[in-house]
Amino acid sequence: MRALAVTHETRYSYGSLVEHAHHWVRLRPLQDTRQRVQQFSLAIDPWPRHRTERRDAHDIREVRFEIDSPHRELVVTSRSSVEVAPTPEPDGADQPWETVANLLAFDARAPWQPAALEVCNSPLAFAHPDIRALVLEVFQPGRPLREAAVAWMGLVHREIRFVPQATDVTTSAIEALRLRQGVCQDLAHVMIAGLRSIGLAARYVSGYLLTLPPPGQPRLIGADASHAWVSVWCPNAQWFELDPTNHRAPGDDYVTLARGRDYRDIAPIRGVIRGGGSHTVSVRVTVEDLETPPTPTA
Amino acid sequence: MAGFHFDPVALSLFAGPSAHDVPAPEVPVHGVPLTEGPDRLDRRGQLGSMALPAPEGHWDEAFQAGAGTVWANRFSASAANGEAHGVRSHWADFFSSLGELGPDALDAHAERLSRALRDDDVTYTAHDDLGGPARPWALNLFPFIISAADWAEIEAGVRQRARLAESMMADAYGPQRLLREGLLPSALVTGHPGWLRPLQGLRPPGGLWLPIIALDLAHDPEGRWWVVSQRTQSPAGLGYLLENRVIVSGQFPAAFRTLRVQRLAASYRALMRALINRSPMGEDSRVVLLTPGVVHETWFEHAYLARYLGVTLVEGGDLTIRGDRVFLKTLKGLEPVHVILRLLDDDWCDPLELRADSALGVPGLVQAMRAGQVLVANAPGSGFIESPALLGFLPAISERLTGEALRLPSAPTWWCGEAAARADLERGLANTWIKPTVPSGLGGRRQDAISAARLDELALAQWRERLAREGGDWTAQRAIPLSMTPTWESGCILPRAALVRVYALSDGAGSWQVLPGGLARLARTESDSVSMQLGGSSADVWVMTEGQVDHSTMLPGQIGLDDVQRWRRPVASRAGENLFWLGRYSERAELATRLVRLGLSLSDSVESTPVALRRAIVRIAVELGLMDAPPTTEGLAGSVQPAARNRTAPLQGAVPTFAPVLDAVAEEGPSAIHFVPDIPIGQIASSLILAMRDDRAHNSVAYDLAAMRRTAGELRDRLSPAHWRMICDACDRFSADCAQADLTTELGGGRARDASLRQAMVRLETLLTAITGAQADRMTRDDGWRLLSIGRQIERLATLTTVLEFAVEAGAMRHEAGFDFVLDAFDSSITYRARYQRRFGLASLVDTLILDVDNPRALAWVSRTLAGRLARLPVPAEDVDPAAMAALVPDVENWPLEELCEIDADGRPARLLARLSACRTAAWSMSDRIGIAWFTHARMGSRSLRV
Repeated sequence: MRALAVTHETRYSYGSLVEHAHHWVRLRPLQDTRQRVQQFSLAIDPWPRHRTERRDAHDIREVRFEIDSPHRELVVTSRSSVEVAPTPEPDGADQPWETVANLLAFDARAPWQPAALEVCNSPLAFAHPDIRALVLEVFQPGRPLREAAVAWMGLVHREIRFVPQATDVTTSAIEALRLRQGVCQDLAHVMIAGLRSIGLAARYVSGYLLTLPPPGQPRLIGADASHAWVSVWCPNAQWFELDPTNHRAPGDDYVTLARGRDYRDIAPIRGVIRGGGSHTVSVRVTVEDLETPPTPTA
Repeated sequence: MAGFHFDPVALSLFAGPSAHDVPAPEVPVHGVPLTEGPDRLDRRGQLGSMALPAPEGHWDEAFQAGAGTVWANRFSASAANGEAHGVRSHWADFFSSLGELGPDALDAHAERLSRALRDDDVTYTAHDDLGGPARPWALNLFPFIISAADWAEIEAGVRQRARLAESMMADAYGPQRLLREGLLPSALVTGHPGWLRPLQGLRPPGGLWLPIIALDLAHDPEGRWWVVSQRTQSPAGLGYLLENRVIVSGQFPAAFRTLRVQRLAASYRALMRALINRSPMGEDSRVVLLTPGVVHETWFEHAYLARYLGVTLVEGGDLTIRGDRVFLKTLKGLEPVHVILRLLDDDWCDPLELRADSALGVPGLVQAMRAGQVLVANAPGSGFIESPALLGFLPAISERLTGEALRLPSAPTWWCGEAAARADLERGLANTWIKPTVPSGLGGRRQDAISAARLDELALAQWRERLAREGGDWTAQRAIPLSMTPTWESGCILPRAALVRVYALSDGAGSWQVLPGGLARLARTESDSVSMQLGGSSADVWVMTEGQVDHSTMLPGQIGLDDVQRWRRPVASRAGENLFWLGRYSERAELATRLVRLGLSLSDSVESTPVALRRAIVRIAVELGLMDAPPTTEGLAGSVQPAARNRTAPLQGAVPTFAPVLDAVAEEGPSAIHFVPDIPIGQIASSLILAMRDDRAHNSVAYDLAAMRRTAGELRDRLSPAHWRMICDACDRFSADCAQADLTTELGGGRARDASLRQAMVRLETLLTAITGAQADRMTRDDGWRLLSIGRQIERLATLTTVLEFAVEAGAMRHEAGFDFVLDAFDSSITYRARYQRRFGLASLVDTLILDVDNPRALAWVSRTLAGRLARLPVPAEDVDPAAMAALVPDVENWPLEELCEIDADGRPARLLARLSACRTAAWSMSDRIGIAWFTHARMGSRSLRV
């Protein structure tokens, strides 16, 4: 178990007064067999008059709020401390990928696989002939699932250059592939769309990375913002994760915020304002290892 | 923002598996030439005998199968034995009830029908010509008739389908049993972009997801009815079919009675009742109809339905969510809303949870639904139910969910995502339509449905390969040959392929009524597909009944005291703003027309049009935007445009500037007028003519008319049809007259043109006066009307002060012609002459045109009316005080006469001029204040934040 502390601050600055604003945030890290949330707090400034909380159908906790006093700035800060366990190696990941895909294909007579839901297209990560052609370059017939998936991660990592600002939250997988650039979200979408286009189940995972790497290791991309990676299904309801942006498998230095079909399902924050003129947004994320306090850099 | 969702689906006119080998059969276009032939008269009263039968392979709605190709004499005047002659009894009844009508009479009916459509300005704008003018709605003279026996079968089948669709919605957003049990592939539910994840787990108020469901039906060659598609995302047509009914039944009242055609109103009433019963506020609910706005192709029907159902027509920007509750922004502030009849596509409803780029929706609406605070009819998220692929799975689903077999079969359908389906299609593909499983509007394939019957062997083979590769993206559906129904086209009775849309409307818990009627869509002659978007026509659907004909109307039976209060519709802020601008544009158009007319009627002789008057006219016309500034007026050029900013409303979307208008001209004092060159009358006339027709130049007559029409168009739910028609007539007449004048120029030169245009302006002025009358005397004097009147008075006050100020300043009043011009511009010649005959003096002028509180053109009357109406406006927010605002209107009636008539050392009535100038400025700034107080919050759009 590793204890990590996350601070995630989102700051909107507006060119003119915002008269009214509706927002929701999903900033509480998820709780599962591998990860336990010890503490969580959410600060919203200015103080919202109307605030409610709900769990969605996928057990994601969502805080909704409405600010009806004129404001020029909104700051949302979440603080959480989380215990993360190392990821176990899944069984069944060595089967040929077609065997896995066949388990997920629709057959009116076959038993239901809940993971079939994750084969389905979603608004930002849908199958496309071009992506399918690309993914088949590494998913050769009979290749073991995990091996092929890791090769696919490598291909996506090479094909799509990490370029901040090249895309936005509405960019779909096929658009990012055509641009050949994007951020972690786009790499994850392309990887997911590829897996789905050959009948495999994949999920989008959002979360955080340890800001300062252990001594001697490189600092990871995405460490100063929220991050995204991919979860791939293999039989017996097991999933394994891959991070195409950093070209590695996530470990206990990754904190999971939420899982969904794509970014749109689990966006950490969304808002609609009236007024406000032009706006800028800045996001700051810090993840500290609570046992080994970071050494200040010179 | 697809509106009609009329699949260009289309259905084949051909039959048989080998149809692809056969060229498309000639659909007869010749019909029976009724305009000639020796035996024309003999056939009077025997209309049935004039009809052509449907081609082989199609059910003929009017004639018995096997009636053969010999059409003559099949039908005699005696309807009773019509069957014996091959005419189906209901059509025999229809034709015979037309009695002695001959083809000429039918042509006259058809002419009346198109006039009715024109008069009501029934429009349908197809996708590809968005931005262009709205297209007239196409309606056939003859109804599509469904017998009582057929209807019983359809009704039971449609009801069952409605229950089924509702259960599927509840399941897809709830337990998802259909997925777990393998009855539906998840690709067609959660994988369909029309399935909206934010809706998962939601329970709508009263458990009602889909109060309104539409099915498109085909009548096959054996006379069986098939469901071809299901429409659940705010299906279009419920307004058009009412309009069709009013017009067509009005043409054939006898046939309508004889056939015992069931009435429609009861179903709409039941729907409204069901919605109110399920609404969180019950009887005290406020119902609104949510539309994407005037840009939408079926806008006509949105406004029509709102008027028919007696509910407020709103756009997303009119609604706001506060604390999970929905409110309407009205002139009185926020008013709660409990039921939303939604004609806005699913994904656009809520930019906070659905499409973030939607500017049409209401942020927070989905959460308000979750909180049980609003009933949305229909709930968003049913897009997946519309997929053709679903139809193939329905028989098993029906058994599972309702324990019954489907009563009304679907056209056989194969979703190509299933290997078994692709195997079936190895042989059967040629007889199908291949459709994208997901419409392109939702991110699916950009491809219309393809008739496989038209593909050759090679193309078919290519498609089979493609289906193997792209499987789930495609669905194949067996082509069902459509039945043919008689239509009246250019003097002939011709058979046309028809697809019939019917509607299930909720009338209580888990129960739907089938609207006894519908919308039949007819193929174009040369087309084998049925689509309004592709230029088809429509027909009224007559459902015969053996039971009671229901005579109820939309009017509530008993109106209690509470109802009286409730039926007073609140005025939405946006509607209020449109009314205000309708007032301003109508008044401006009228005044501009009068001034142009006066300018054009000036005499050429120098004595009767002195230089002072010419200068005054140029100055006024330039100031009001009725002509371009003459090139030599250097001093003027810079100061001429100031008012234009204020005088033009942002019609769509633009954020207005409320900067106070500084009138530079007023401050420049007397010198400005001397920069105005002396322009010959002929040149003034041509400048006025040039400018008035330019509909892009702000404030030209053409622009004012267009703006008036556009603004009125957004208010069609509030204006009487007669009022709207007057506005259209005025605009159309002006365009026609201008075109006519061009023709005159070619024939008779410039003089003839000027004369013709002068007449045109006189005509236009008369039409505009009638509109003024309709607004003054035929509208309920609610807050909306007050705003309209306030808009008028502001425009009148500012324009008339401009005329008077510049005329006096130019010294035009020293001449009789100038005096006449000003009196005429104020429409006060008769009043003046009655009092002062032909004596001219400043005091009498000031008295008549400024101080008279009984002359509706005098500034005192205008300002008093303006202040009075302002004071009665509702208080929209705590910091707005209408009474205080009214006090800012210049108190013209108390201006001292002596002071106004005072002449200074330069010989000018300087104090009069200063007062007029200040009054004009006050009028413009009043417009800004009203905008800020009552309309600002309605205008400011919502935007999603970037992350």
